[in-house]
Amino acid sequence: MEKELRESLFDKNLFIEVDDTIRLRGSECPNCGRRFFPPKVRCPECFRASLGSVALETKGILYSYTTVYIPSRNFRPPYRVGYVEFDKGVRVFGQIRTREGETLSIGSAVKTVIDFLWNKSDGGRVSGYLFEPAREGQISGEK
Amino acid sequence: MREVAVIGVGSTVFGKWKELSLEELGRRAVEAALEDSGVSYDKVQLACCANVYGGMCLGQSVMKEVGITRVEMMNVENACASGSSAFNIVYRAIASGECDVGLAFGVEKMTALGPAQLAPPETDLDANMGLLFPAFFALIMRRYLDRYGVTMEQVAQVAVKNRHHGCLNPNAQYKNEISISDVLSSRMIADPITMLQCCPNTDGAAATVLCAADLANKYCSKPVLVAASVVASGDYQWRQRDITFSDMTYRTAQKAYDLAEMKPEDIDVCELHDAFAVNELMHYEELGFCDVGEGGRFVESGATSMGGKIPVNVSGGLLSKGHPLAATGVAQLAEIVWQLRDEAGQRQVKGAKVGLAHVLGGAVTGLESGACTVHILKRG
Repeated sequence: MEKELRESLFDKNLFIEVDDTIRLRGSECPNCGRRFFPPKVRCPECFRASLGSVALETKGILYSYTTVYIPSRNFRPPYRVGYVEFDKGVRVFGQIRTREGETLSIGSAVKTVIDFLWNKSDGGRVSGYLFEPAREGQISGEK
Repeated sequence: MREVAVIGVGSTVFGKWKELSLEELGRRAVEAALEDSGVSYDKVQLACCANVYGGMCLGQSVMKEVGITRVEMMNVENACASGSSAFNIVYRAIASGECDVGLAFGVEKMTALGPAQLAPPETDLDANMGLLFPAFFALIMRRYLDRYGVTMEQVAQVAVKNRHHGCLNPNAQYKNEISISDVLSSRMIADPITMLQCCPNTDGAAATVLCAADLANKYCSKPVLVAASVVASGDYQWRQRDITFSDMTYRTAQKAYDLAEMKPEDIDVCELHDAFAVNELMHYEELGFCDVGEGGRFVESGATSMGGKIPVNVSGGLLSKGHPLAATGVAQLAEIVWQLRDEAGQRQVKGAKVGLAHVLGGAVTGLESGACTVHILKRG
């Protein structure tokens, strides 16, 4: 499973391995300290090149969310999406996976999950990042 | 830089034109604008065509049907702001003295794309993750309602107002009244955005003829002057800031007000980018028509309705008139010209002397938006 997940990541540039787990890879400007996701080669604020990689923490805060009732390229409705905020103000857009009846709220804690996201037309599966509410009783950083 | 005048405008009726080609839609708008201007076909020195989904050299393809060939032609793509960007290019060419007479037009067939196909390009990260335009604006809207206590009824009021205005515009796609409860009970698209808070898929074309202001009286009796034409692009850091305020619209508008030596209070009529109802409330604030957070109360007060302090989207806006992407910006400018010439019929804003047009367009991961344009036109 882990091996298949790793092999089917839709853009390997967006991920980084930390202690055998897959994390989101951002970049940080050594000059002005700004952090970005997706990672950038050059800082759009101070133009410094060759930004270094940084692993985003797995837990973030839900900045905004919506449930979508029309199909998008890779997802069938209904599905939930949102912006998740990480350290230094980095906001990442992605799918939010909730359980039946589970509600979301601005400012609630969410965690990053690496899992399969959609199927390709040739039947292959594509994996990447999504977010889930950080539910009580769960050990942080699991999975 | 020379002063530049708009001397002719034209538009097709906006709607579903499955049986008409892009070339035919474009030809109809261009010929209407040329006829309106009084300029003979051999005087056109530059033609700038805006289009997003039509393919290679569409401008030349339209212009050969009009009968104008060999002159300088450009094709412009800047998402929803394509049309107003094309206008800006022709404006600059004339202002700088490179040419005297030019044509800017936009044409689009959204029905050719099928339902809900308007999305950022396949290579875009967020697009792959499911970021459709309604979802993007739903995320912004949730924060905006949360932060300022704006109500769903106030958001719906924008759609009700613009649909009412659309009833007065023969070129609008929708010409029927709707109620606040119609808006709120329509099908959910991306919570809290319902169907009637979204602009429709539309086909159409619009065109403008520009010329050096000192030559304008030779062709037409009611030239309208371009007081400011500004194009700007989005900021990569916007998403890390407060997304309930379009910094891009604010910056672009400030520059336009400076160039025109005007203030928001000087604007008599405004066409702005109401792709979704909530956008209009936020743009009131960014364009300086009301204080930040006051957009909901501002629409409720009637200030932006016909007869109000600053009537907004009297054409019906994107919500009623429809949104053929690249034609939209040009159609807004055509509406402002009709208003300033006192030719807008039932939807005429009495005594309008200055008008502003605003477009925001394009999704790129990390950017607020691709392009923003603000134009200020005034009576000659």
